[in-house]
Amino acid sequence: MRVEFQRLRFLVVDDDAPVRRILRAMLEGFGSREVYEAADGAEGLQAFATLSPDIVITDWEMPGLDGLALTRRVRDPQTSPNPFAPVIMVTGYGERRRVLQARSAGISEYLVKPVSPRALYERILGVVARPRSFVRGPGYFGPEPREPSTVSSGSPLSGRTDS
Amino acid sequence: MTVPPRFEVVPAPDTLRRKALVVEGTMEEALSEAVARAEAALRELSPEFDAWMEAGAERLAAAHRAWRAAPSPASRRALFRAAHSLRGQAGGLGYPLAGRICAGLARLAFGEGPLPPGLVDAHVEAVRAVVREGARSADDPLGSALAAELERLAAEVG
Repeated sequence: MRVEFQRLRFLVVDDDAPVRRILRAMLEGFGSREVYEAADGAEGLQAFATLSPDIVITDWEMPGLDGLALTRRVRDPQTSPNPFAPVIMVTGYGERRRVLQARSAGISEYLVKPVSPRALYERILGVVARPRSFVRGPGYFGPEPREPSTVSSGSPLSGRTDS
Repeated sequence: MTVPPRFEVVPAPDTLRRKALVVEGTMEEALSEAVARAEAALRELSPEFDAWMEAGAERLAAAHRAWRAAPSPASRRALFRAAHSLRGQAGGLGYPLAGRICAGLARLAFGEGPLPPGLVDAHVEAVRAVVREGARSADDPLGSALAAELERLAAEVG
């Protein structure tokens, strides 16, 4: 089983250019040909609307519209062009409460920086091969939450403290 | 997970599965090949890593100078953001020790608790020294001792 990356369009949203370069290098190494970049949430939201990416990879902490707000806008069934689009959050925040907060915003997967190629590939494979059902309810539209014990599976979350 | 009744489950679209998933060969084989190509791409990029770290350390120093010159919630937030940003980059750029020190500084600068200027100065200087000296190993004796001491001092601030 493999992912044909050349058939997928990615949008990478991060205010740090080096992080965008690294993620792009990984995605292109996997075989992607269409990797678009945005330097903040607002630019990312505009790119999401105009470029119709298949998968969004976003940072959390960004000036202006941050990654959480971007995710909520992507998930808004009233205004989003594709509220089912997988959103993979890649962030320096590794604390459990942050993971839960991101989950409440509607992210599909969560990775703590620094990200390895293997971890990124596995998350992308997950959203492509095993898409989760969505849940619609008061104040939430997004992937059906997994049990908290499995939310951070594979992420180096243990032992990290907040900032 | 049990979904409360007021929530409606919507089946996941399998658009991407149909578009890009090929069911042949083993998953591990495909993963290993893709990861090897990505690692090769990162190696090609790696000559730029030192310059990116130096630029990040300089942005941190600039945010630090601005906070020192005019302490305010906004300048403190900018300092936090610079530390948090470098924390996120440093590991991927091969500077885990700098990332560890930046994580400590980000913890200090986050929120509205006490922010001792001397301790902030020490963190910023330590990051700059680690980058300047090219201390890439997480086990660098001097660097890890410095990081541990900064963590001890930060813990005292609470």
